[in-house]
Amino acid sequence: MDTPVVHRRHFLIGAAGVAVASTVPGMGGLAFAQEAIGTQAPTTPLPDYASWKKPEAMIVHTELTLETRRPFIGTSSVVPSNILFVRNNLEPPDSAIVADADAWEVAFEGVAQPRTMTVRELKQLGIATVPTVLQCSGNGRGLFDHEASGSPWLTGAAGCVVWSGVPLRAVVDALGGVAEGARFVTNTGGEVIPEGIDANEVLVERSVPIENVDTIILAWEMNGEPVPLAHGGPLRVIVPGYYGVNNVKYVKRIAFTEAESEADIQQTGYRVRPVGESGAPDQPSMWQMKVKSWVTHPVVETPSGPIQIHGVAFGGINPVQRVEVSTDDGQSWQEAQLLDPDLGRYAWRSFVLPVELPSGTYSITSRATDSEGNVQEQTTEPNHRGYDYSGWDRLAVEVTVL
Amino acid sequence: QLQAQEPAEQDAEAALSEEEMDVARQLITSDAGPACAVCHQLAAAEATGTLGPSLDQLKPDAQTVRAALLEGPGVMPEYGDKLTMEQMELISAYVAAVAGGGQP
Repeated sequence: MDTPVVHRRHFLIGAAGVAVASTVPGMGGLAFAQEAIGTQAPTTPLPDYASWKKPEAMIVHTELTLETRRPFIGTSSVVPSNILFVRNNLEPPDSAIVADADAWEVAFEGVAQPRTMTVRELKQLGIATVPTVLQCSGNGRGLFDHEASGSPWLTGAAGCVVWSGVPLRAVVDALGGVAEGARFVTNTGGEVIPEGIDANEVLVERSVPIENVDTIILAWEMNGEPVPLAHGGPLRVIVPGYYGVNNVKYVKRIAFTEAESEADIQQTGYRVRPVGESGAPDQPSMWQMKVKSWVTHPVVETPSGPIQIHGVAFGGINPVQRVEVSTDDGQSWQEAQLLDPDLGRYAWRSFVLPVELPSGTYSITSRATDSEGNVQEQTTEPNHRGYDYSGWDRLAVEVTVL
Repeated sequence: QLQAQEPAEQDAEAALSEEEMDVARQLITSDAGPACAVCHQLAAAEATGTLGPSLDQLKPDAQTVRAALLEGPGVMPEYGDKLTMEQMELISAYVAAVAGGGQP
């Protein structure tokens, strides 16, 4: 018998239009669907640092990668912390750092007056609250055909959460402004790296263009609570509209630099390239996110009669303008209603389309358009590392209306 | 799902000699540069790293290990220029055979 991963991928390829469930003996179509969507019971225990997550809502890929099961995403815009996905590149630091969060220190470099500040001091400089979509670069990796290494995320390495912290601009102003010649904001994570390895090989240090200095916040609060260790507390860099990896956790150093970080995670990691090519600094970095949406209900089966098809949509750095829904595999589209509240350009927007469907099987999917007219792509061309599958074809769900 | 094994994995397991397993353990615990054991747990090789995912919990098949060595997912280094293909195959077969804490 094949491994579960192979089953899932086969089903999802099938969900794009070709039914293959029947070609694998011993598994019914529904079981396939449940596994593909992530509605089956959890099989791996939650890691200690995330033991407070709701187990039935999570797919545990590894102890560092926890995915939110698709139908657990609701219509209230904000994803509750206890079902928010977790992707840690490295083992989190000791939990003692969040026990005394205000004492956490961050070094600021590449400013007129470089110095180290505590979270306590940062809290005196200003406060901004920003809802953003946090999405792992690898979200959707499990929807590609090529078996890229890494967790085979489906849709659940993403969530919209509310951050509160100090605007980076306020800190920079307090430190006399940015040094001349700086082109990037380079942020270093506080994970503890063991002996026996060159730090640059595993260091979580990401650079983003300096233009983001006016939107970045240094967050100590998430969804109304101190940022938990699992999500980067005591202090996390939030770069609105950028993929998760740029939102450095346990940030211990913020530097305005002329060049991008020398760490492998910046130079060769998180670079978009064709399948089979090695990562290199001249390839596009996983920075700004693409326009994307997906249906979160119904996902497997539903009674016939009135059905409220709903899901989530976001536009990276742009607000969502419209969302269309198809129940016939993209042959025809109907405009969905965008639900309030509108939490701003970096948040996701819930959408709903009421339909009546007779019994049968339907391929249901959604297609978002952002304020700049960018339309969610139909299919995502394979890239070596399997980053961000955004195509509405394979984000479709095959739903049985009973 | 813990019992699920690819046919290739079973073949690889059967094919590994004691000598080959010693070589694999040596690579994993010290020679791979950086050694797998710095970051990963694998009880059978007495590897106790905790920076990255535990191989005993992940129980990857040989293909998954090989892909990880070649691609370096996330912050994991790429080993394509550090190890020979033969060494990577050996590590992959060994990890697939022993991950989970059992003896090969």
